[in-house]
Amino acid sequence: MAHAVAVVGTGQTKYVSRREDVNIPEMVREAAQRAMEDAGVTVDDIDAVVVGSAPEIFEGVNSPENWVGIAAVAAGKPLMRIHTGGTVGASTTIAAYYHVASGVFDVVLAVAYEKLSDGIAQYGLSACYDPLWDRDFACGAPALVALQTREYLARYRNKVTEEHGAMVAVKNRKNAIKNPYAQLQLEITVEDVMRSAPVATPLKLLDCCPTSDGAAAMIIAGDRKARKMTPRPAWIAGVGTCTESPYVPNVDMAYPESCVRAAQQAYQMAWIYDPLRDLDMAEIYEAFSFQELIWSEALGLCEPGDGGRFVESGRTAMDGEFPINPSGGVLSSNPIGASAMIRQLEAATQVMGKAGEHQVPGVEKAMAHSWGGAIQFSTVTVFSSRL
Amino acid sequence: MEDVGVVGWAQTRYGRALVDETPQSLIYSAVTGALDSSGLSIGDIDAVIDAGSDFLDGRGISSCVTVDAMGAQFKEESKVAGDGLLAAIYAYMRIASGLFSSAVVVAYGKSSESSIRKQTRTMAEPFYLRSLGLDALSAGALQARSFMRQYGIGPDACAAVAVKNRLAGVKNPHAQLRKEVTLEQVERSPEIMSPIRKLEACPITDGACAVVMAEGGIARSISARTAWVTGIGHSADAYSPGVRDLHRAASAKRAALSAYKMAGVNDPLSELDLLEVSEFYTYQELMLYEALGLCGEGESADILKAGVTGPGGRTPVNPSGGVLCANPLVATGLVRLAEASAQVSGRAGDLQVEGARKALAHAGGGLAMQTAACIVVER
Repeated sequence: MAHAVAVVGTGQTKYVSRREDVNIPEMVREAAQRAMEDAGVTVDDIDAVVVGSAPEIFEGVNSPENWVGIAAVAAGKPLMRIHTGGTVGASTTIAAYYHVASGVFDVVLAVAYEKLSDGIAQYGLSACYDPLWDRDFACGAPALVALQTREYLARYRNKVTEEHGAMVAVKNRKNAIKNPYAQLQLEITVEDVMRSAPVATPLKLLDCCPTSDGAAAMIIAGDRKARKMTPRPAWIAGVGTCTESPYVPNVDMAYPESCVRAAQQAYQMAWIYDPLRDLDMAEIYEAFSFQELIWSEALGLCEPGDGGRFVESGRTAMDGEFPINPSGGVLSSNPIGASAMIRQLEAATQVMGKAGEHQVPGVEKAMAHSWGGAIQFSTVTVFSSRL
Repeated sequence: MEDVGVVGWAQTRYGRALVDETPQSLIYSAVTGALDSSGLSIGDIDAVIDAGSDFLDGRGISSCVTVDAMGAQFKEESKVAGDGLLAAIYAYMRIASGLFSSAVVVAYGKSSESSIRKQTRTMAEPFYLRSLGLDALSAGALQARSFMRQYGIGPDACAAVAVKNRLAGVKNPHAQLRKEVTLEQVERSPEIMSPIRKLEACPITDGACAVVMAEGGIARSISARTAWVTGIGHSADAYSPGVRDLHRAASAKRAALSAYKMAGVNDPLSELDLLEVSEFYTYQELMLYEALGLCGEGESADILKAGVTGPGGRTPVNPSGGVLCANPLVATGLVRLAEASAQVSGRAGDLQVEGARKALAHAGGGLAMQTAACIVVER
């Protein structure tokens, strides 16, 4: 039987397009230090460290955990790095979860980071494409997600419009204003989004996430310690991950099966029957605006094709019945390797009641989602105020 | 905590440059081989934990394109960026949690496709270390000097490790180098980075390894000869070689102590029947004798000379021939687990250490053995 596991402390750095005052280890230490302070623990209390980062070609250092992880208090401790593309921040927390659920460790620091200003993000992402077949026409992430968006819009051409994507962009940038860590805190209109420059049609500039420097950290603890550390830990009630082959003709990008399955797994573990009813809010990995609609459908928050109506109805707004991305989401800050952990961190913080100005009242259960690779890796984590 | 056993394993053929293989073909062959040896099929497997290196593969998120070959389609899958033995530790924790009943662990490396020295040079951070030209070999040479000077260990003692392991490798059907060498040949081989000579360094190898792990009930139902995982440990040292006592493998010592504590091993020399360790260079095996508790400080050359760690000795180290006979980078440590599991389950063929019941598998990582992972397996 798995040991009960909770998030007992969190820390993040202010997300900006370029941190010039720190290098990567210093930035990671900043987040780790804040998480330890939040949990009321010191370096000596940490039994093991799990580090997550996206392709190390971003920073150009091979096995960066040996450099960065040490700054995050791992010297003399067990250290492991997870690397699962865009989902890596979440996969890192999930690995930390198993460190504790197995009974091997009691208190684990999970930390994820990216300093995209140190490299060229889209060049790094293009290096994911096959060197023999794909790299000649590789053009980073927007091209891939533009294909996904086209497929989605084509399937529901009578129900979803480009304006629906714009509504997500407006909503999340507005939410970000209340999140002191967010990078893009913007009051914009649907018209602003529609008029912004095309990046990869139908994606326009304001449909896209920024590139960010930043790190996020969480302290994960087993039940006995967790109860002592904080009066209201965020229990990890369900975790699910699923991986799908990248062979594009086989992948339904408008309703990715890996996401559906990861959600089923996590919901089953957390006793969630109807996610819209049983959960109070969600943090969804929307690197591009339309993805919030696509994932809402795959996560079972609305019916396939109803994603547009879902955002238009205002139900997912900050004051709606089911707020999505009160933090501002990935559209407001995207330090890639950390982004999936930030979703979990925000969901956990909401459950702990410590989200400050963007706190949704009365959150008991919250979900965090992420995607990665060629729309092929999915993770879902459910946090609960009760064990 | 649930019982966890290693129930199957396979290694691909190894070669200096397997130009007719892709990472995917190597992975597929290792995974199907490991499943066959376990008696389980891919449909029985709950999770796939893989190890790979983006830098070695020359592409970002290398696990994107190996999903099918690993058998991970629509499964729980995660990639550990580091040696495959760490992936095995992660798989162990997943199964020990009771939430998974079985896992495939797979690691691969095609070192032939890049320059290993340039590749390992990127392990140095860009501000201080990289401009020094540190890479795996030069960091190893610095460490070898430091270790030899500290304990007055002569080059002949290091060379004797190569003689021992290359002789053992002759019997290993998986080994890439299967030709014995004499002490004289080792000592006369060119210095590639003083004091390390060519025959004291591991070869460059393409290849893959996979193991299948399962919880107790499944393990018992499919085989009477499971290699039970009774101890795990991993650890990291400070990053900069300049702030470490380079003559000590401190991370290996801590990793081993954790694994021994969990497995109830008090005196490894008398309780372990063999060890499979990751000695990328000869001196590392000697350093590991100390770190893994086989001898006291500065006594490593003595126990080697006395034949304690040799074939037929009290506690043979690297009966497979070790990394000096094949180094499929990233898979290197996982191969140690496959070999140790084969030994304690009595399935090691020509390499079998008679009556082996308990063994340690070790993996090293980082510049000058900065990190280590250990697993104790027993019958």
